[in-house]
Amino acid sequence: MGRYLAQRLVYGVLTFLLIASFTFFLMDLLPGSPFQNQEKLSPEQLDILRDKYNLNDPLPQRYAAYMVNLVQGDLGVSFKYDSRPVTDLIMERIGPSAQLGVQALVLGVLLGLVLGVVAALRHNTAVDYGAMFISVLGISVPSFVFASLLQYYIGVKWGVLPVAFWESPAHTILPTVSLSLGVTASIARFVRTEMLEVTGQDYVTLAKAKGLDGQSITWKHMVRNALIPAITILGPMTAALITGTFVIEKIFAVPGLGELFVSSITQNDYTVIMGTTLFFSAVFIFMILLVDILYGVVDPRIRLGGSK
Amino acid sequence: MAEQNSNAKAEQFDSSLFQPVEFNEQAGERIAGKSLNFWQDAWTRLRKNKAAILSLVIIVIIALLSLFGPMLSGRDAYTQTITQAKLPPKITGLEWAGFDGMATLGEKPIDFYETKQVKDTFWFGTDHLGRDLWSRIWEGTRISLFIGLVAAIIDVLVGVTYGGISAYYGGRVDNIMQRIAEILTGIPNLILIILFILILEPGITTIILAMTITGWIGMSRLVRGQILKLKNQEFVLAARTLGASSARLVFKHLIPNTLGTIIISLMFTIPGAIFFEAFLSFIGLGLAPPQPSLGTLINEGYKELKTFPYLLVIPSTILVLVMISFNMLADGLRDAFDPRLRR
Amino acid sequence: METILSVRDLTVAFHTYAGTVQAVRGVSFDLKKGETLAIVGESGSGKSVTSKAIMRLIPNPPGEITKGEIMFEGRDLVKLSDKEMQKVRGRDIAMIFQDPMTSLNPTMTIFKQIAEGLKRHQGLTGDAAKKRTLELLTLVGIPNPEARLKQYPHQLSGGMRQRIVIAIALACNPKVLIADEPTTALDVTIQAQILELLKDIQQKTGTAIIFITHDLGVVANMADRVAVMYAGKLIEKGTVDEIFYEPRHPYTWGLLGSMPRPSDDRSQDLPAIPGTPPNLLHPPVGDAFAPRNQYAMKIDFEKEPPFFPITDTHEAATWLLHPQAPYVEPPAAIRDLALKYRPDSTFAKSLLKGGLK
Repeated sequence: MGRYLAQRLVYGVLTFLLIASFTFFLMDLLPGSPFQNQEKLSPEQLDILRDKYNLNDPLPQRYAAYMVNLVQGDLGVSFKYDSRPVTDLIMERIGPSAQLGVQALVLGVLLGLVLGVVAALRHNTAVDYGAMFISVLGISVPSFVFASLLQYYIGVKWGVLPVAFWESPAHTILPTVSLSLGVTASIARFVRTEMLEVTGQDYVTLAKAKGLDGQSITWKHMVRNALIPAITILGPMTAALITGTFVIEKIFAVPGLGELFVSSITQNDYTVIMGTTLFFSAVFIFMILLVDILYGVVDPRIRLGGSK
Repeated sequence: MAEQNSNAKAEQFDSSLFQPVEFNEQAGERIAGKSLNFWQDAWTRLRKNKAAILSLVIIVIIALLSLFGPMLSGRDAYTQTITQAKLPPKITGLEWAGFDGMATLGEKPIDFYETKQVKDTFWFGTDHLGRDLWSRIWEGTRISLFIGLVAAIIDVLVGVTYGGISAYYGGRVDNIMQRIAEILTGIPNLILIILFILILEPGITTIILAMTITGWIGMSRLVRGQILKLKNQEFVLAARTLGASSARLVFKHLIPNTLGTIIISLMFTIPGAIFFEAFLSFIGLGLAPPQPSLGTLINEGYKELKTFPYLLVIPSTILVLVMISFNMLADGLRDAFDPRLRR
Repeated sequence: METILSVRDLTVAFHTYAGTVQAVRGVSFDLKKGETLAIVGESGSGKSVTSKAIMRLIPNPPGEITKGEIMFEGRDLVKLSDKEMQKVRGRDIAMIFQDPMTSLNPTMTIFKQIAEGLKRHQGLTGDAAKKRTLELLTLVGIPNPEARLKQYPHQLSGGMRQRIVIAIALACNPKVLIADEPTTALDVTIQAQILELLKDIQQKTGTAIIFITHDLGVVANMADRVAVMYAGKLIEKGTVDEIFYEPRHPYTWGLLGSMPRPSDDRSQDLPAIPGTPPNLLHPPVGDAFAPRNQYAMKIDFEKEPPFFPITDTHEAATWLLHPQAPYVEPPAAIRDLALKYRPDSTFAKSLLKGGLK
């Protein structure tokens, strides 16, 4: 287990460095310049500006400098936002995004679990079909469509909840619900499939043969074994949440990282694009690693080694 | 141990009944019921899945409309007529269902056709530049479907080749190829896609390319897993023992047995690609105007949401319908191809 | 001896998308206190479904007990509510499954899996449960039981796991133990150990055993009485000696004939029963075995044979036993067995005289 973990960790770091190099060279290929859209600048002024951000240095030298800074946790300064350090910008924005992401994950996982377990227990009944219809809907309706409709009906038309901005807990409800829809749907589908898989297992029949009641069989024998594989989708789930925050934060005007990323793209703010990209990648890589570890903790077959 | 039903001894029968019957060894070997091949069997099962068949019908209808829809209204998707801008949908005979040309401005509903003195009716209304939304939506649907289909096919081609080679050769080749794939999956694909779109000119080709850069990995995993499983199964070993060539093994045994998996995955990839296109267009990284896609239409509609919700609702409905249909059909296909997974 | 479990006309159907499969078609038998009854048959004959039906473990849907009764201690198990049935399972009637690799919960410790039943039926918890669990582990011959309590199934070998499954079944001293092919998935040496263990346990606890198997060698070793099953029906019932040395049903002849013996002449093919069992989606009219039966008569294709009693303990469902039926010569292997090992039996004598009835 320890060796395996170390190996995963090395892979994670390697992947991260690779992404960093890759994005750096991609940035260099970007058409347009961060200064283009500002007031009309003379070539001399532009040169001074480029010099200020070391953009006139040869590529290898800039790459080396960037990587050295990166290792020290320095992501450079923004070309916009008055040359503020990118790390500061990220730190400023991380709060709302993290809150939104965690809230949506918790809500989505809990709801999805309940839906999936109930659907499997009531297999081939109206409850099952209903739950599965909701989950197909959740997978098929893009979060931005769902968010737009929620915003229009609940926020604008009925005025029940705030339409946008990030001020009070009430402001977080609509974005959280919008973002969690996909999570709920995916988890429900996955858990249901796993539960049905487990239902046919011999150890469940044995549990029945022991004379246990339905509750004990469901919770002690089925749910636990069905949930272990469900941990694996938490990795892709994080990726989906990051994707989701881009549009959800835009729609609800949440001052988060996704919003920062999207606006930095439209403004060609290289360093901010790179910084946020690397930050998202790090979160993603970390989640994949965490899933691996969690899997080991929960499944005794892996935790204790030995044959599967 | 004598039981109630065992006192039939006294009963007498016609003695001809006790004549021996000539024994026919083959008779016992007869297999009851006609046998179906893999595809027939899958089709029989798919046909019984009402949701999947309904989805297939919806997909066909939407695809046909996306090809011929603009012709039905007789209007072009690009012609701008500012005097006819922002007309809500109006269909004669369907006024009761909301297609009445009315929109609420401030507090009171107004018939826009009346105020703008337009005699024609626009089934899905017009957008902010007076373009016919019906034609734009089907034009956009066609582009979205095209992007989804092409991206999915490229994913399949690359994925099958990569996964197939990796699994078939195994050993070091497999090891190296899998390490590469592993690192690629460690990258959040959305960010990669966005970066690619930033460097290349925005357009259909760019979007397709960007999506397929990491899109094939899932497919290659599936194919590799399937082939690894098949490779060690008895029927492949038997074929090999009988001297079948590599090509014969691949084309006669491995690919046909992987086809089900590939088709299912293809059907799940299409809605995924359509979603991604819409998503990119929504955050402003999609197609350049005036070209419509479901994503750009939704994006434009979102801006007018408060007064003209139809601009968002209609393209969203089509998008959701397409997504649901593909997902349900893919579910149905999975059940049909792999009865073991039947749920 | 006292009858403890009595099955009458048990009928089980599975509703599949292709149609209704009649897996068990009117099975009747009695189980007596402390005896071992073997139910023998090829795969798909319905023996496993029968055993699961007794425990009411047929998944519904698609399965359903459509007819019959299962009398146990004056109650019909078929009519019990789910709650009442839960109290019977594990306490009065327990079951051992075929594959020890899959019948234990991979994420639960051995102790918990055994103690669950103890808690449920006897209210044993804490130290009492631990003490009883250790007792059980010792009873089923697990070395170093204390160390096993906290282990998970994957840390044990197949044979050890089957011992655990047996310990779970024995936890509450059941009156009836159903063993559904308990040794099929095990190595031959381990098989013998597990069979010995079951015999040993039966002697110590006096539980009655229903032993489901397709292995006649195991039957000879374990059973007091045997019931032969074919296409969802019992076709011959008798003591183990009667079935092995005085079989009357052509299917039993086929089964015994296809059993290899060390004394066999190796140059000759092992006789097999030609053909395949009938499709129970459309059960045949008459005797289900008729198409594969080289002794078949016209009546076999038209009327289902009733059970014809041979002795107090032996009966078979074949028209060959009807007074009007012609005399048929059993296969040489059956004849040889009877004459060699039971020369004094009525069966052997009638074989010599050339008349089977």
